[in-house]
Amino acid sequence: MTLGLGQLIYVLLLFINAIAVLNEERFLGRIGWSAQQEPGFGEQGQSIKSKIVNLISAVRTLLRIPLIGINILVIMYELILG
Amino acid sequence: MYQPNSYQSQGYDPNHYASPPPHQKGYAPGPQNSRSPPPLQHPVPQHPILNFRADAASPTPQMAHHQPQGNMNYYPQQQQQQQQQQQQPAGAYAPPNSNLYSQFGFNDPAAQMGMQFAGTAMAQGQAYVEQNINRWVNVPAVKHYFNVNNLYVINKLRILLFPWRHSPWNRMARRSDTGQMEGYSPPREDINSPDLYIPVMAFVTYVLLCGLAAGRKGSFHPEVLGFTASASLAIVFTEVLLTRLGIYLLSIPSDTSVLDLVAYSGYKFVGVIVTTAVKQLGFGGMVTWGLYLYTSLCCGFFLLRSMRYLALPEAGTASTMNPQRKRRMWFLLMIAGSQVFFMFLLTK
Repeated sequence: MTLGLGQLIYVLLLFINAIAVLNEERFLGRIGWSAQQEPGFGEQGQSIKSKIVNLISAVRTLLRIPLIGINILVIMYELILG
Repeated sequence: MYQPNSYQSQGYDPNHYASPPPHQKGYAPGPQNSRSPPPLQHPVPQHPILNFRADAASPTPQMAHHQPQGNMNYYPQQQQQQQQQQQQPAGAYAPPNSNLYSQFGFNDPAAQMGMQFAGTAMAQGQAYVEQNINRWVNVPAVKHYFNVNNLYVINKLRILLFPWRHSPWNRMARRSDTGQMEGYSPPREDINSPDLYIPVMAFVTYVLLCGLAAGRKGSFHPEVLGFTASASLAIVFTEVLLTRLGIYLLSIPSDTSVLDLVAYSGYKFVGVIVTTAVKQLGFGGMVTWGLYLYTSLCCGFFLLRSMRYLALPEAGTASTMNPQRKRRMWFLLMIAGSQVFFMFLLTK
């Protein structure tokens, strides 16, 4: 059987966790995916890579605090009822 | 049986249950006025009931003061005794009747007020719910997708199953008087417009059909419906999410809502239903596989043509194959190709 909605939520949560734990200096900077670089001005549209970098940095900054709570909730749920 | 003395010893006059004498003639011509024994439907009062009635009636003690005098005037002494004994059950049981009567008679304004209050509360609650729903879901936008008629549904189903002959795939834009585009025509007027009616109905039908299939195998359980609904919702959700991510990554300037994507993702249920139904009718594996391949290709082709305006908004102008356009074409092709995979998951 395919995944249900509950498993899908878990998958999404784990993915977001995986994005959020990427370290800026240790990993992203080394492979050149750091968000610090200035985007070139006047380019028509952004490249896919810059979009991905933007997305990662946005997830890292925006979802860090909520992820803590959500992770704790899921862990508690799994410990008690799983 | 009944013990009036125990009552009076408790300080409750049994007569105070009955209405005052002027009222007795008015609307309670019960056993007090007639010497005949009390009517038969009066049950024999039991002790707990008596106590309960007494407690319940105790908040109106002023009636108890008037009551014995009135009875004294009406009846001679000995009859009074007998009357009291007969009245005891009657008096114990009469209060519900008279209270009921007084409720209907006197508290009618109160009841009306209550009804009015309930009505306003209901209206307020409804307004609150609507307000909250409007905050989260754009109701007019959703209504736009359900604005269908029979002709549209039949034609759309025909296109979904035989998309090869359909020629114009462009959506009709609704223009204002100045010629500016303000959204698209509703599905009722435009056969190429995505709707949500067919996907929702197909989804429900698919879930029920899976239940039927499980029942024919003898393994039906109510949870089957839940599992199926959850799994297929997850597939739709995944597809919408991936498409949205692709639109973001390819920086496609689209003003399409998520509902469009949900609708396009939900159209594949039609093909899945056809395949599953044929499978249930007992055709062989070859027929089922062929039908599955055909319907998935149809769905892919349909999406390829329908979502072209979404992926390539400047379709007419850009004739050069710049890399961005090429990438978007690949993206579109991937969406169409993914239908085969998702429909395989659903038909399984």
